Amino acid sequence: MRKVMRMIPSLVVVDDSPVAVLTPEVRTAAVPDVASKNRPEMPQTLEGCVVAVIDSDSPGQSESYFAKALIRELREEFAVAEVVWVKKANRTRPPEASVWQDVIERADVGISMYGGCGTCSSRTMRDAIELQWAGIPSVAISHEDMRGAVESMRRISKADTPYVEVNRPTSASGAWTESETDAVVRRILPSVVAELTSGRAPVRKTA
Amino acid sequence: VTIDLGSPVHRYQDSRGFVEDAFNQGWADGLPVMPPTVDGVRAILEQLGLAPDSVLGDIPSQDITVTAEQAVVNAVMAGCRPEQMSLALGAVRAFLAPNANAHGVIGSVVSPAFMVLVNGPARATLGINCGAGCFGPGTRANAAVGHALRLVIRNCCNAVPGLADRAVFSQPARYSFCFGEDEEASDWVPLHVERGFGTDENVVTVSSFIEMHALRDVESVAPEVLLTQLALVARHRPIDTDHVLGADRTAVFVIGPEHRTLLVRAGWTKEDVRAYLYPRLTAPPTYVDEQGRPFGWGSGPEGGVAESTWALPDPKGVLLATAGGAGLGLSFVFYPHWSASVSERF
Repeated sequence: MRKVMRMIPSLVVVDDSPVAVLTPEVRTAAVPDVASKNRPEMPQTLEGCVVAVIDSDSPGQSESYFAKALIRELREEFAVAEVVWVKKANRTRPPEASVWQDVIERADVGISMYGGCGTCSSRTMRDAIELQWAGIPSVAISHEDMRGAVESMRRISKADTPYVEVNRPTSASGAWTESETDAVVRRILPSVVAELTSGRAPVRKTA
Repeated sequence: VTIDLGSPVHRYQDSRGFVEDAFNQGWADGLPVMPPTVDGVRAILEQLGLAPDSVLGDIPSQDITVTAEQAVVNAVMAGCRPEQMSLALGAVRAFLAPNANAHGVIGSVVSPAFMVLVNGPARATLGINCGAGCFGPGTRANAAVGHALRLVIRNCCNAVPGLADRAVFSQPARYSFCFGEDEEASDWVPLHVERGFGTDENVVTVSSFIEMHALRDVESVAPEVLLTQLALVARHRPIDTDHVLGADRTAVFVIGPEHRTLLVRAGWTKEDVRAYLYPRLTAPPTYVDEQGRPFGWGSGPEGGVAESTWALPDPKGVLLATAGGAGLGLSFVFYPHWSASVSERF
């Protein structure tokens, strides 16, 4: 028989007594009082508005094509006055403070996009939330696979800022062709605009 | 003076009741935890001379501020002894530094783990393993300190699967990954000294990594051959440009004893190793497609090896440490997420 060369755990008797322990859970810092800011006043339509597009990243292989397609549609179909396109330096972080301030001073409404991964989706959601806190009606765009991350950020931030989902069959961060991207943008844009405006239905220049 | 603690208190009939409830409450990560008693936590804070509400750092994207009390509570749960608390809290401070990008590494689908690398004289007194088996189980200090950081991340930073933690697979190193540099094994300049700290200072360096990859080389006899192999292996996957970190971008190499011996015997310092590696890590890829993108590691379209791109702007971003036990020629490279290695005194 093989000999055991070292002690193995054996049974123990514990003379235990009551214990008082401290909770290890998070103590979140004070979140801004957002009750009055979560739903800033929205324009009736986007016509003549300055739209901020906070661009975390575009999906697939076409760098920024998603953002470009979105901006093109906004200009051509919804007669926006100006688009302030902010291409973030890092998808997991907010824009630079000076850029952010410029956006807040100029924009009438905000769109943050695109949440196709864990950190970029949560940060994309947070970008929209922080724009709302600054009084700018905003919406985030993310993929349905990232719904958990987006919802988590809304819970953490105690915010009800809206988001619009891109759904299958286009994968969250896979290779999208330009025609696929165009189709996605055209499909979601009415919902995006509806979340930014108080009109009953988004107004397109062309049907 | 008795210090006032801010955390809610829970009472249990015995410690087993707490351990079971910790799982029910979601305070444990799957491993059993120790009870953070009121008296024990208070005594540790007094020993450290820290007010309970001392801020160790924050995560602005999530409105999170982590205090000394919270960190000590979780470090006790992880099994840290009182003398290991200073190290554990140093790791928490490093993790929460802006360049560590806590929000990014917690929420990533690729699920980075966190290397806690210890330098300085305290390695010996705290019982940090720097030698054989140092990456894995077997040493209380390594396991407890790494686990302490994990519990802080879980309990204080919303990093619960299904909440802020969005890992597709996650990885085992997320339970605990702490080791020390084997400073005494050679005359190489320790990592913390290369990063500007004093030889006698105790420093913890935290690095998030999405993957670790080994070079197993028992045949090379010349430093140039060994390090060429190491650079080639390292470039099996890319390091992407991080415009926020810029020159602060880092990648960690841990050189094993056999490789270290080869290099030291040939008279190579860490600076020599870095100077040889850096251009080979960052040279433009041999093969790119029509859009200028590298093919990625593997066979090139015309034979040979295609390398990934390493966007590491500064040679100082090549962090070199040495650790591990004898027996095989192994060294490791750790690929960073959107974060830099951060070093903190403890």
